[in-house]
Amino acid sequence: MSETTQRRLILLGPQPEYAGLRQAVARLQIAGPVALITAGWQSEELDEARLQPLRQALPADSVNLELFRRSEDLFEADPGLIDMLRRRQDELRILRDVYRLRLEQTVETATRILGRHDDILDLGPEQESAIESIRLLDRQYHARTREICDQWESRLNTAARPEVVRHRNEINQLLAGTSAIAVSGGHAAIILNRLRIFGILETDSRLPLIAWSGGAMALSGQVVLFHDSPPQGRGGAEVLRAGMGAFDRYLPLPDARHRLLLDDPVRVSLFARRFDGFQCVVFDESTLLDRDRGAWSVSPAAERLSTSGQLTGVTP
Amino acid sequence: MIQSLPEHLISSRASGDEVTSFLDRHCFPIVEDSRVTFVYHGQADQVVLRHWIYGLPSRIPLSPLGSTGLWYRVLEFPAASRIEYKFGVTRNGYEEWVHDPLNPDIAPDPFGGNSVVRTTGCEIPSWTLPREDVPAGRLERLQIESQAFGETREVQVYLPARFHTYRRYRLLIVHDGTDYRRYSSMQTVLDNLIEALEIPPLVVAFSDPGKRLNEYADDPAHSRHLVEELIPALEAQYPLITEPTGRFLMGASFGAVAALAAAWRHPGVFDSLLLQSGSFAFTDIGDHSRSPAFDRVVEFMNALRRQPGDLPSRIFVSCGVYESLIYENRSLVPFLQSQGVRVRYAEARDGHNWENWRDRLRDGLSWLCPGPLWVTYM
Repeated sequence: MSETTQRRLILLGPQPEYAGLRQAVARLQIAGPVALITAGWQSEELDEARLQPLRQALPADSVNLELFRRSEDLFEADPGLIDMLRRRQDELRILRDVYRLRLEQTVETATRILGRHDDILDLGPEQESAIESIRLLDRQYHARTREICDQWESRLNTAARPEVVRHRNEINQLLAGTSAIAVSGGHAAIILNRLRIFGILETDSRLPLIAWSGGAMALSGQVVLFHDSPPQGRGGAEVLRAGMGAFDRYLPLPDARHRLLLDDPVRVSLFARRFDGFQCVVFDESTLLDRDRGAWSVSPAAERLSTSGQLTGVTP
Repeated sequence: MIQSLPEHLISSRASGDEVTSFLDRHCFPIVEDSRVTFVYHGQADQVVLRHWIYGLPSRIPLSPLGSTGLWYRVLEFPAASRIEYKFGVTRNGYEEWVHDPLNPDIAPDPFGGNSVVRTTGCEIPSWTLPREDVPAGRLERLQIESQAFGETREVQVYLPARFHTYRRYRLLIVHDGTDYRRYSSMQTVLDNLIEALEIPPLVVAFSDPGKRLNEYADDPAHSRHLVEELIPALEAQYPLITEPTGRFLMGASFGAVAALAAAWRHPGVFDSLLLQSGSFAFTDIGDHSRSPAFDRVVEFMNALRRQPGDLPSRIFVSCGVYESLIYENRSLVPFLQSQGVRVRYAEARDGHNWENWRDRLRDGLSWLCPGPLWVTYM
């Protein structure tokens, strides 16, 4: 997909105070209501205490599309759908376990080789080869997840299922009166699944999209999960699967300053080189990336991971 | 040289005011990196430090400081050590075990609790402390008519905050459940770890034994009760994931033996175990040297080592290095690994106590059952 054909898009980092969201709304110069997607909050999607500060950052009469609630209703009304999705999930889980098993050794090896420097011999080719081994795993996993999802989709035929059609029609009616769609952060996989089920990117392409944190990740070309020091032990990064593909130049890394060891040049360099098809962008509260008619503009302080192991400016 | 006790106190001619001033100016025991000065103030014929550090004499005498009424003893411990202790104070030929009157830090346990001292680097984990901004789960009681035991058994069932009947939850069964709640702050820990997305929302059954040392020492009735009575009752009452990958079993000390024994007797029922300071005594030859309560444990462990069968796929093992059981727990790890079990093993400079077990819960639970933190970006 060529990005130039895509709709207006604003990507943001975490929004504890919704300052970036207010800025995005101002940039879009929209006065009408915004369609809200908070599926990433799961069962708290409709929690008024959480929604209130978010609503205050949006124009009046903004409407929550309730994608999580809709999916729960949908699964109840269409047990065949949830059954097949669970079976698909079982297959994806097995695939992920194997991917992780292979990844663990490969990343450890690459990290050790990248951290090694020798005055006698240039290890550049060995380092590149070690990173290419990780890229190969990522590519294989990405392709296999896509293959499995495509196979199941041919059986699911999601868009033609009566209950899905009913919800999509309702959503389209709600969108008809709105000026933009805003996708909140939260559980990235759930956001991605709900955006797919309800065909959100197939809706009126004139509607600009604003997405932050997990929402921005779900809209990307490839969703990459990351944490260098999770409580369960060994951290790192792994591909989840293809995202919605609304953009493919950047890899959003929300809250990266907390989740990644950005002062470790070996890890930073490995990350940037592993995902060298993207600019790996550190998404802070103040980060804003705006695509308007195919051209990107970037907030001045935005930074990305560089292959040299440092942080550097983002290229629009 | 005892840096923490001023020269004039050491010279034992300090006045009462000077002693009072000294006591007011310090927190006790006095910790200077790895050096710990234990101080007792009061009239006594003898004062000893009672502790449960395997490898040190169980009674370490304190020295009187002239007529000051002060008794002291300086000991060296490695960094990040956590030590539970009491003072044995002898007066008129009778020794009484008391908490350290100068130390407000008490670790509660079923036997009246102990005073606690931590060397540099040992902190109380923040996730063990209650927080007002973290929504609390709730407890329900569930009564089960047990044919295995011929009586009614009650479990306390923890339901996480924002519990919904339309969702499916993993099940964790906790041996010595009431003690884990009382002495290891387990409800608070669950609330905090769930809120931090480090573990998923879980349904947790806090189970208690009848005759603990019998039931938890590989009693077939106990295993049968868990698998054929407790789990079906819980699955009938709550929306649980019914596959083995959705079930976890845990316990400490004899409770860890009970967990391992139940998983061994009923292969395929539990995918994961969390075993803390397990009383995993075994013999390679000859008799064991522990108390008779261990007879059945040793029989079980020896049988397990001969015929391990199909063990759970993942087991978290933790133990304190100041416990006598450290050797049994360390030797369990390679044995489990040789059976294809994925093992994570954690040690701490701590003893056989509930706060040691509390402080390892995050490592164990988040490894066995990682929460959505990895995939959540707010």
